[in-house]
Amino acid sequence: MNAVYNYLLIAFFAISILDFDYFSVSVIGMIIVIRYFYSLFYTKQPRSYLFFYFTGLAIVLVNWRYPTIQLPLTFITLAILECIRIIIMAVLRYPDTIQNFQALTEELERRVEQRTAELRETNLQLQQANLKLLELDQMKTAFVSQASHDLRTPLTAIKGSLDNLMMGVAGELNDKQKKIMLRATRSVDRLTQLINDILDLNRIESGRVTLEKSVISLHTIMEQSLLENQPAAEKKQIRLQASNDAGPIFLHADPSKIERVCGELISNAIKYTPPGGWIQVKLARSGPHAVLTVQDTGIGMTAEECGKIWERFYRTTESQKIAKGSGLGLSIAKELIELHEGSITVDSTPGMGTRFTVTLPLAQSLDTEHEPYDNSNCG
Amino acid sequence: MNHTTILIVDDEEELRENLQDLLEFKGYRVETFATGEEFLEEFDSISGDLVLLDIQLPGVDGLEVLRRIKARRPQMPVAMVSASSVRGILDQAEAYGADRIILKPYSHEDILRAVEEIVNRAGG
Repeated sequence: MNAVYNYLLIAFFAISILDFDYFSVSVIGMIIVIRYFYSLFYTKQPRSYLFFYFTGLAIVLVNWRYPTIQLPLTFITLAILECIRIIIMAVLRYPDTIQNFQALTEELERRVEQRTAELRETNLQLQQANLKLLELDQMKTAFVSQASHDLRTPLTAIKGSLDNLMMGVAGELNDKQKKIMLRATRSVDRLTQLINDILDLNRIESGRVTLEKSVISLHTIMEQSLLENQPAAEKKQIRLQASNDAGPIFLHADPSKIERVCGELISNAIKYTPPGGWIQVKLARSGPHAVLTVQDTGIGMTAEECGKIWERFYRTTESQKIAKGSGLGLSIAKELIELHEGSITVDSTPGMGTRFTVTLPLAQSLDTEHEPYDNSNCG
Repeated sequence: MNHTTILIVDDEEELRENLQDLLEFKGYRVETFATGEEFLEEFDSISGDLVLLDIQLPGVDGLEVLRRIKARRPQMPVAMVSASSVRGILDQAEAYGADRIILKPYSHEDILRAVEEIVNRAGG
């Protein structure tokens, strides 16, 4: 289309020169020059300059030789011709444009549909995977719960039988027999503890733990825990020191869970502190929080180990050498603290000792009898 | 000699017999039942001072047995033994009038303490 137009222009240009029609020479020459520039700019293809120079020269010559020809008239005619050309081109291209446009729209729609379908498919797969995971998680919870309960019954029977023998139900035992019985009893107790820990963790993970909160005094619980752990500490000649700079500290918490946390941290410290060491339990306040620190002179851990101790069943290499344990106690403690909107951190130096720091929100009002604790404020 | 009679209802033979050995050793009279049905059938014809009742029983479960005991003899002390610590079940046992709940795994001390407390309360 363009090529035909160009040839026509050149033909008319030649005819006007041959006819000595200077007005036409100017107009057609201008069109050629403008188209030349246009094609230079928009198609960015190299063009021969020769024809361009020739056309420009023709216009200049005509206007110089015959100055009667009015340049404004030339431009106006030029503009009108160009407008007509644009309109004709647009009309000629209209069906094409529409078709192109429709094709483009269809293509776009098709792509959007395709992508949407892909997304829907991915989404479905994700949902199914999620459902499967949820199902697996529920299965795991149910399995652990069932298995633990099923383990408890025979365990209770074993323990009962051992206790009966120890008690002398079948006659008094001699020292050697007692020693053997004690060994069995200790193992049963360990197994029982492990099953209880797994069950507890399972219950926490499945969200089945309900906190029975009341206003409790942390210092009393701490003292109680220290008292309970005193015999174990004495056995290893470990000094248990307690300090409380903060006076009475009250929490709005589940007492049995907080007892568990305190007991776990102190017994843990005793377990991993060599004989002759000391353990310091400190209570303090920090803003709206109670801060409980348990520091020992135990075997300590590397920074890498510190990052892993909250994982279920994780035990450091050193800790496995020095004492027995399931590797669940700290996981449970952390979960219980977090259920109370508190936090626990650890810092430790291998061979030097370890310090656990527990932060728990303080009870907001001590005067609970007159002013019930407002649960909405605790978030 | 102590003439307190303790009735044990537990489907687990080993647990039942261990408890029987322990309590007989401590001088109590003991009668055992493997199912709730068996116990309820004979309940009217036997006398006892305390029932040790497992919650999870095949057939008529412990909660139902508890309900029927309390319906017939409200004064009869009942200690429930449970391997489950599911709140709902324990709450229900309390609602039905259980005098005591002992969680498995229990130690001999748990059993003896519970039995002595209930018997002393009934006697005193």
